[in-house]
Amino acid sequence: MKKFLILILVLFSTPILSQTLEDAMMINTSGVLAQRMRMTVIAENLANLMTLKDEETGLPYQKKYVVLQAAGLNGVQIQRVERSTEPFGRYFDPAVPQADEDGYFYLPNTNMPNEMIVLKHSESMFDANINAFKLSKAMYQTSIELLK
Amino acid sequence: MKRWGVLLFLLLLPSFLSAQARYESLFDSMLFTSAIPRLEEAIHDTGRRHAIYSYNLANATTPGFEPILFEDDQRQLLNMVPEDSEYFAKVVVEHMSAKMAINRGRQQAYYALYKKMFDNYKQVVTLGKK
Repeated sequence: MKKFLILILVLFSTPILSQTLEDAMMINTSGVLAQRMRMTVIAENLANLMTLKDEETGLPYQKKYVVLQAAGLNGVQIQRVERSTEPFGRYFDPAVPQADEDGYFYLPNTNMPNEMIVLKHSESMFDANINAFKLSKAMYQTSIELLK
Repeated sequence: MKRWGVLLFLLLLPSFLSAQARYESLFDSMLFTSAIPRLEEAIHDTGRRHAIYSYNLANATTPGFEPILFEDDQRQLLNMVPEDSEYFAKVVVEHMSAKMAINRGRQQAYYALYKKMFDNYKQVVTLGKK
């Protein structure tokens, strides 16, 4: 009885995990897509490094970042893309058209070196997931070769 | 002459029977061993492990994600870092990649054995003919 209860507890407390190579391939794909999405968002951040006015918010461009979430059998999923609430860079130049009445203007809260580091990290993770996919494929191929 | 023939037959009969029984047991031991189900289980296990390592790797950048580690992985990590270190609370990509490569090697070895077992079967069933 005790063992049965423990089994029930274990079954309901842990997420349903993948069992096969097909699941592994799905998970690898989700990892690749998630990293690709991260890279796209970083590219957007870098492209808007000097955007002083965002059409959506009316403020200087706010750095975006991807929030990822573990999704059991689906591997990883993109929960949402959020905007950073870090303070904007404040500079004094009354000559700039976007300057306020005190002569200050604001730059996006995107930090280029940071973005480059995150980009490199995403690239490495992208490669890692691609290599894992290649391995899954090779393992699958080995099992198919039994039919020959 | 006939009598001698019958006598010889009676003398050799037990050894024929025992040889037959021995061959039968040999065939049984070659054909119905527990090696095949064990190998199949091991192959399934490598697939399962690969999927779980992939899951860890895919979630390496997920905030707050704790990797699923097998006992041997934990032991391996424990040999390198203390248990309360952050290496247990986050995915170590190199560790996962290495474990995946080892797992792949294991799977290949199991498949090679599995294939060999079937070659043996073929040889037994065809009585050694190629």
